[in-house]
Amino acid sequence: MAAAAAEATTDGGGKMIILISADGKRFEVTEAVASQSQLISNMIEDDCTENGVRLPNVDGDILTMVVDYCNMHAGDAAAAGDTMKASSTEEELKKFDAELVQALENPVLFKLILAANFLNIKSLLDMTCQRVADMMSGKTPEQMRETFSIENDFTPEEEAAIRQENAWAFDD
Amino acid sequence: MHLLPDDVLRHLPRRSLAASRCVCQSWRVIIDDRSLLATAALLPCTLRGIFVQIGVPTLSGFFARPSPAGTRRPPIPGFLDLDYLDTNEIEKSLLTIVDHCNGLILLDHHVVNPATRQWTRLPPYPPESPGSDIILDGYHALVFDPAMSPHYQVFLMPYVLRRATVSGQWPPSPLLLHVFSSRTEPEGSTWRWEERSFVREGNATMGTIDEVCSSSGWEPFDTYSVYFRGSLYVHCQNNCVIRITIANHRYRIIKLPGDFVGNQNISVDPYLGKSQEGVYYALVIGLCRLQIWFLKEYQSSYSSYSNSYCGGINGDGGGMETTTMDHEHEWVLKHDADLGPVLAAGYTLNDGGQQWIWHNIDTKKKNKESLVKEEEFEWNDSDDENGSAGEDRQYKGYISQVFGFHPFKEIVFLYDTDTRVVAYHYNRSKVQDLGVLQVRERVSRSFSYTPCWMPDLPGMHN
Repeated sequence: MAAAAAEATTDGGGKMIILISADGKRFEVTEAVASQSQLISNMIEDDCTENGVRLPNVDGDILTMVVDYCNMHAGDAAAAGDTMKASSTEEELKKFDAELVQALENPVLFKLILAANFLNIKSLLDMTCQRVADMMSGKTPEQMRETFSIENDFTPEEEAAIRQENAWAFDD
Repeated sequence: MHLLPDDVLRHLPRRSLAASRCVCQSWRVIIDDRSLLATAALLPCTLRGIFVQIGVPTLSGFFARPSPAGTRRPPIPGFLDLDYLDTNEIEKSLLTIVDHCNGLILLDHHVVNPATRQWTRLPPYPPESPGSDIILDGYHALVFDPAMSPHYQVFLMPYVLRRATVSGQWPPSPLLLHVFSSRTEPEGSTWRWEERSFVREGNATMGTIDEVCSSSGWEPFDTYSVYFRGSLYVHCQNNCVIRITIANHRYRIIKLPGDFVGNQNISVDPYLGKSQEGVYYALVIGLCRLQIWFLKEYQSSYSSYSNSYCGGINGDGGGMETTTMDHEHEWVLKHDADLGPVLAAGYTLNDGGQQWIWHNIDTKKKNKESLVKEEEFEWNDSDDENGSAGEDRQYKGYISQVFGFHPFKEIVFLYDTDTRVVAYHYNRSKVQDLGVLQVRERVSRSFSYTPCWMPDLPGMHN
């Protein structure tokens, strides 16, 4: 009972949870922050976060970004009642989000997508995927290969045939 | 890096999706596995023909080039035999096409996809308020763009019928419209109309209610609408278009060019339609002078500059200069020519196997077997000057109807002297004959039809 009372009064979300990355780094976050991950939210409901949450396919540097993102975005839910505060927070969030995705190099961006996908954080997944889609949009296949360092593994005949199939995509 | 998450693909436009497919084997497999591009082939990106609605519904039909023999698609879309609808014979014979949008047809109370022969019945129209001076469901407009979403909507736009007891500007702001969306959750098992509110952008209105009423005798009751890039444009009263920006619940009144209302010299209904670059407007003055206008819209920061010609009308007492306009628009006159000489002098007739054919219930019964010719009809510009043009025909050479715009090319379809349908390439001032269409009744509406082959749109069934 005492514990429950303490939780309720703790500012911004109560109980702390430990997240452990693939390389053993530990992150202490509030339940409110961690719950933005649907995966962790489900674990909290099932009461299996006591000994820390191991995330064997998320590296420490990626998890740092995820935790930063979640810390930043936990605020808007808490401030939603206060319109003045919420609107300024919204501005800040947009700026934070934009800087986060713009700054990332490709391999890191893709790792972040994987992490967002695994942790099931919809807003982060949407944002990072949109960033990749933006990078692909309007590019020719050659430019896409260059952007993402992909080797062309088609034979010339195969490539010609495939291009023919989607000729409308290249006709201007 | 051979990974390409589904969520990235979901954010990609079709064109980029197609390009991605050529990047490497693993990407191609991912895209093909998800059948993402297969849907592209099902989108309404070809012109199949023209639906023609005649004053008497049973005479209505479809005017189209002959189907290449042996194609798996039926020669005529499932519009003429509506045996798949739930109506009885009498109802069926009275069905009229109210609107067409990207392959879907609004057929009175039904939304029909003639290509897949699937359909749905709309919920009963909302009741009109008793004693109202306004017909609530005056204009019906269908909204559908399968490249963006499989959902479709129907907008009802009020029509001011007679001098109202209320005065003031029309439409009001906010304007309440009845909207049906296939996205609304069915209550129990039936869909419903919802009331949506739209706020006016800019100062322009259609005028005072009195002005709007007094224009009504001049105007066709059945006008056309266009859905383009998230906005619905409806040709409504007093020579105006209402542009409804659906996502942000706003509307703007745009004055039409060319002064159609009250012009004694105009007898052909004007046509508001979608073509190559957006919204176009065809106006026939006198018997054969054709004007093609294009609605140019752009976002602009120099609003005060362009107010002078952007068609802002009936402003509330000269408040124009302070208006902040996020969208600017102007009508650009793309073409203005007297087609009389061209039509009267004659053009090469298309009487061969490529001639477009009139299909309706009668012709269907008569000649099921006569599928003609193999090759695709080409937009031909090489068959000029030959002997068949000219003397032996007695066409007086006037435009009796505008049949619509080619949705993807700078072509307008005209009905020449109640006999032949022609494609007019207005950039090159060239007339191309499509074929004979002889009907005794007056043509009331016509729509360029682009089939959409996507099966199982929300709520649609066989």
